[in-house]
Amino acid sequence: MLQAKQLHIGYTESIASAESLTLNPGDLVALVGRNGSGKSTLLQSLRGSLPILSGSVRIDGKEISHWLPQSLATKIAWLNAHFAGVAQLLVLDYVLLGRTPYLGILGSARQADVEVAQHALKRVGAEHLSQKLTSSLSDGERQLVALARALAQDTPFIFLDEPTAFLDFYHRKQLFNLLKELATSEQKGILLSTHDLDLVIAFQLPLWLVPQDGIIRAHEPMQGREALEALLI
Amino acid sequence: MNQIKSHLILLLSAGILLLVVFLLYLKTGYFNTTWEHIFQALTNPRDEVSSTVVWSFRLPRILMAFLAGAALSVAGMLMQNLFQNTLAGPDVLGITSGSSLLVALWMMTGITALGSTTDLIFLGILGAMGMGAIMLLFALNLRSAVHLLLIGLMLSSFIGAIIAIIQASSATQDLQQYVFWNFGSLQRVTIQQIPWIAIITSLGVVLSLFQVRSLNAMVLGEDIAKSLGVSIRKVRIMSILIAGILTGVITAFAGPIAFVGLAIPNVTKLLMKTQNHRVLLFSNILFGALFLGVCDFAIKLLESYVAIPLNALTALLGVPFVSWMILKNRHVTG
Amino acid sequence: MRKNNIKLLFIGFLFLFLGCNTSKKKGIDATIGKSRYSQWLSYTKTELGIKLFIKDPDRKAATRIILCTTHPEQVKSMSTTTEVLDINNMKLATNAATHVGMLVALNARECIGAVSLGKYLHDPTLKKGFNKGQLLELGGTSIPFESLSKKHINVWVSAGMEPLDQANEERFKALDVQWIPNYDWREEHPLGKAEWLLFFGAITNRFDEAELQFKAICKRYNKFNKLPKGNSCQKILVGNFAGDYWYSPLQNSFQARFFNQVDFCTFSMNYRGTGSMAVGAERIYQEAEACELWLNPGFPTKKAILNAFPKAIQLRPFTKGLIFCYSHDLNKFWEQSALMPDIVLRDLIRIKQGNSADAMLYFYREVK
Repeated sequence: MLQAKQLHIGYTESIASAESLTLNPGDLVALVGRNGSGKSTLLQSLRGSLPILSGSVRIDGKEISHWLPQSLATKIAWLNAHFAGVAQLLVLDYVLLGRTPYLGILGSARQADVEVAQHALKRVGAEHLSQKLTSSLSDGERQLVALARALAQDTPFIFLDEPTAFLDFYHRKQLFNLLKELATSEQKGILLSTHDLDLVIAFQLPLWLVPQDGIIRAHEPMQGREALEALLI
Repeated sequence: MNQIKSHLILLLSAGILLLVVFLLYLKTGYFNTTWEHIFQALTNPRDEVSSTVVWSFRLPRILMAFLAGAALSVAGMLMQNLFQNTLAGPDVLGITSGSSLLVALWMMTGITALGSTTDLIFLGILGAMGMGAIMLLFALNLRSAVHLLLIGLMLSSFIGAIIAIIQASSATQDLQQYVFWNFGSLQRVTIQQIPWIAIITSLGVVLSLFQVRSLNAMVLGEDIAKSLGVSIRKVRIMSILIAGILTGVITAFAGPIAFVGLAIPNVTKLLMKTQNHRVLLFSNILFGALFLGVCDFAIKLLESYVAIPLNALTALLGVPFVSWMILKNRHVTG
Repeated sequence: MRKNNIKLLFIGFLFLFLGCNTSKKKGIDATIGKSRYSQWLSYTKTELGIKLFIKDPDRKAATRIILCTTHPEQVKSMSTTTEVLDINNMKLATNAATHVGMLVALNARECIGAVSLGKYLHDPTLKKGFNKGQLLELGGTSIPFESLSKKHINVWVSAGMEPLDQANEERFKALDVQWIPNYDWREEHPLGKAEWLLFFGAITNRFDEAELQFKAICKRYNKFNKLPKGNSCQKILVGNFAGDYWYSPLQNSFQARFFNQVDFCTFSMNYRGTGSMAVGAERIYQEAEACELWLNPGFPTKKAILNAFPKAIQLRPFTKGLIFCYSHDLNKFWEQSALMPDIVLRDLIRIKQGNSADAMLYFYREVK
């Protein structure tokens, strides 16, 4: 369980705060808000990348600042906005990099690691891409293998930062479907930062709202888009 | 797997070529040596011309070529990861000029504390690491690769200016000594110095091995690498340390050698088609050694006809080759 | 018949008349000078002063013809190729130690206005003057134009090596500074080099003195020519590494002339040329095996040689022979050796005969 209480976040000054936020394995939560409102800051703070100003963030009861980076990597997987593909990198090798927290110091992957990676690719429906170069993938395919990488990391929580930004509508819907499915079947707690309000409403996702006043709060799934937008002003 | 097979083939070929170049080198030169001479010199050197030529002149030079090629390539590999930039290299980013500055100070002001060889190693490494740290500070605050390269070039010029001032007020002999050192030459190294250089280079390689996991993750960028548990700060410090040691020891003995640290890591990535630094590490060692070995062999072959400085040849051979490889893969980024 | 005779007479008178005039003009307009040994410098005495002819060794520029006179106002109707140099209040700048040496030999110190690397000056009087600030320091690289005019320098004498000097001629002209090239360093014969003393004599109004000194130098040097030549010369090692290659003098080089006189030879002297040839380390090591003597390594101590070139220890003369050089007092050598080629020879002969204690040698010293 990931729990944040009486949180103040920001770089030097507090730009946003939250009274209480909880993410459980099995949840798929949408983080919505306008640009500059503090979404990225929240994501950074919750995954330990940015120190919190006050309050507490606990994972499995332990304060986030007490987690060693390598152990924290076994709890939270991070997908940033755009995976551009890397030269000379095969998809399978890319997904295997998700196993980094578990690999030995020389970085050699054992058979078990390879199997986890292959399974992850299968799970997202991308096993046919395994031997392709990441630089030769389409945007939709890239997003899938990125997700596979996060899955291979075998973490209870996955954070995604606007993963649908470069996708067409078909692929966006496909991604949301996949995330929903993963949340329930693999019991992952997924936090999804997105501007895709239509899909958020269509999939009836629970929300964490980041309005302009900077007070972040959880909200039940909403019915109407206008109502949602109103909350974000 | 196909990839593993092709890797093995390439590495094995490089190893064989290395041996071939080594043997041919020992046989080439003004003095006519037979294979008997060579065998004699290597196993039980006698006090005669043939043995001395092989043991004191040819052997240290080719071994230094291999060591320098390997060390500079590994340093280049580390720097390209450190600066997240494939155009980084010890010479381009002015690391070698850091060594130059301290060596210049030593040679032209005569400040010697320890023995001559130890001094040189110490100063060379210190200079290289110092410059590396300065460049890293800039790198942390600059996003653009081009800006970073410009800073590297400017810092090199800056150091060049300081050296010029030292030159202007130093005695002729000291000045001469520095000028010759600055040409870059594998010839000055004696056979007694080779084991030290080999040990220090090996140290650098072993330390690099322990960075492999982190280096692999950093291929995805520092942000993702951090989320995979990599301590970026630790990697940066270790990379500077190792690159400094490798560059420093080579530059201290052979003077500044350009281009190898920049080109070979790029060529290796293109040839081996992988981002796995375990493979890249060993490939860089083999290909780097081979490249510089071939360069020096060419210089030796042409010795009686034309005088070719080492740095000129590395650029002459390297630039077209790397350009060709880059053009061949131009649709690919990174 | 009579008409023809008168015509002949008239033409004859015409010729006589013209002949007189041309010979008078020839006095100042002479286009050929003479020299005894120099390839690039020649000179002739005219009524108004010494005329110098300076040839460009690369045959790129035209021969410079310079009339050095104390009465420039009296010079009329000169050919356009002749330059007039007013040698009254001569103050010149030079960046070569050899030139300084020649001026000192002529007691023309007051004509020196600027030198290069003044802290290395050998002549004590000049050095004192420099330390007192009487001489301008030229520095090693660029030409300090403004300072030149401040010190009233009217002539810049340089080795002409730097294409910079030729390119800067306009600048020099603008400041009323005349640039004169000096090619003593391109001379192949030691006496040809010494003959440039007359150049300095001409521009400092001490030509006769210079002629006297030069005659004496020639006499002393030629005396040594009478050394008996053996059948086989003594093999020596000459030069040092510069980077990866060793440079050894060729057959017609300046150094080779000296060595020929004393029956020294080195392998590179078998090859034609006036400069040096580059050889690799292995070859030098081999050639050194036959030598007991190593000359002109360019460093004053064995330690200094090793610091620059650790491989030098492999060369036979280093461990089993003797090394001699003039590097312990470089400026003395550069300032004086051009005018004392006989002393240089004497040093070499004494080295050859084993009579080489420090007190017996003037320029050279054993490298230990």
